[in-house]
Amino acid sequence: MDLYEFLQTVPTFSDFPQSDIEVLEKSLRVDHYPKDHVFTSEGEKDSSMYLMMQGEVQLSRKRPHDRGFEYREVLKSGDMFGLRSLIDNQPRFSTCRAITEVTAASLPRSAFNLLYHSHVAIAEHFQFIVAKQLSRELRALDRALVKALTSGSLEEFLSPMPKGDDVGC
Amino acid sequence: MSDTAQDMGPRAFVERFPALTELSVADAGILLREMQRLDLPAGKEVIARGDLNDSIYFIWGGGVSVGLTTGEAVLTVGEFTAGQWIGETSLVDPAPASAACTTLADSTLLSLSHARFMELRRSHPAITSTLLQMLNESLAERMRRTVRFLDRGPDASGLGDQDQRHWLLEALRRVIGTAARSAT
Repeated sequence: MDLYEFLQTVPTFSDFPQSDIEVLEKSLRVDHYPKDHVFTSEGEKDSSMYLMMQGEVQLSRKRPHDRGFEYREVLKSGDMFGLRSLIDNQPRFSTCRAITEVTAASLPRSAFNLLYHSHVAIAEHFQFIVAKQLSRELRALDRALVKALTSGSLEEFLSPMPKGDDVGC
Repeated sequence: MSDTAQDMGPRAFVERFPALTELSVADAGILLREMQRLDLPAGKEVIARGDLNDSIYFIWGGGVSVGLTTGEAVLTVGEFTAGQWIGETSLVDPAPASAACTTLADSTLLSLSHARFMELRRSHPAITSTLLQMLNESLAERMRRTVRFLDRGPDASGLGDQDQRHWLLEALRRVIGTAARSAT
């Protein structure tokens, strides 16, 4: 699969001029991963973000009081994960594991830092995506807590969140 | 007294908001040009619960209380004072507010709308990059503290109504960023 052509089909890069798509293509590295490959592990530090090109990745997060894994979302072609590693060096919130063979383009933090200095508009776009993702996650928690507080239903809040909530790695 | 955000002065702006010290004085001046100054009396509702909010509000002076109406009571979730800000999630992703924000005293706020922010992204990405870096660090820290708190979890069966309410409120304070730093 041609990365340049693929990038032009990803909605989040639809506003990018051709020159920025070319820079992004040169910054990303395409690799193939076997089924069960673990891209990010909850609680561990890593330093790359991934753009899914083919296959599926399952994103999951442990909640001790739920006694086990709580599966949240299946990521597919065009989805990105591990974005937060670009803005901080903190442990990941989630585990991302390949549930099929996967082709993905990765951007290590070191390459992001170079982009930040040479092509600030591209780096800024990734920062905006992270901000939007974090905002939606916090908003989902905020709404669930407000609902529980106003209804007095702690049990409802503690039940697993439905699939499809925005949860990043 | 001056009437516009720009009249506050860019140097004073970065000094008032230490989280923005990465901004140069010149860039702070450009940012201020996009902001609106609001001089509000005490008790004025800045954001109404359920209303679409599309702005971040930097608190220049005074303060803002975040409150929830439960039955006939108003529950104060937290308070923000000068040098802090509210509404950053709406700046990047406008949405209805889940709680009301009301001034605690006569207050001066500087607002930046989503529309102005998106224009600034196109014209001055280096400035919005610095702003986003500051917001992302703050949002990620709130998320980490919330997740740590939720992961400890309550023993729901062992909590009375008051304790359940207290636990939920503490979780919400971490989400909105008003829990004390010493509380993990």
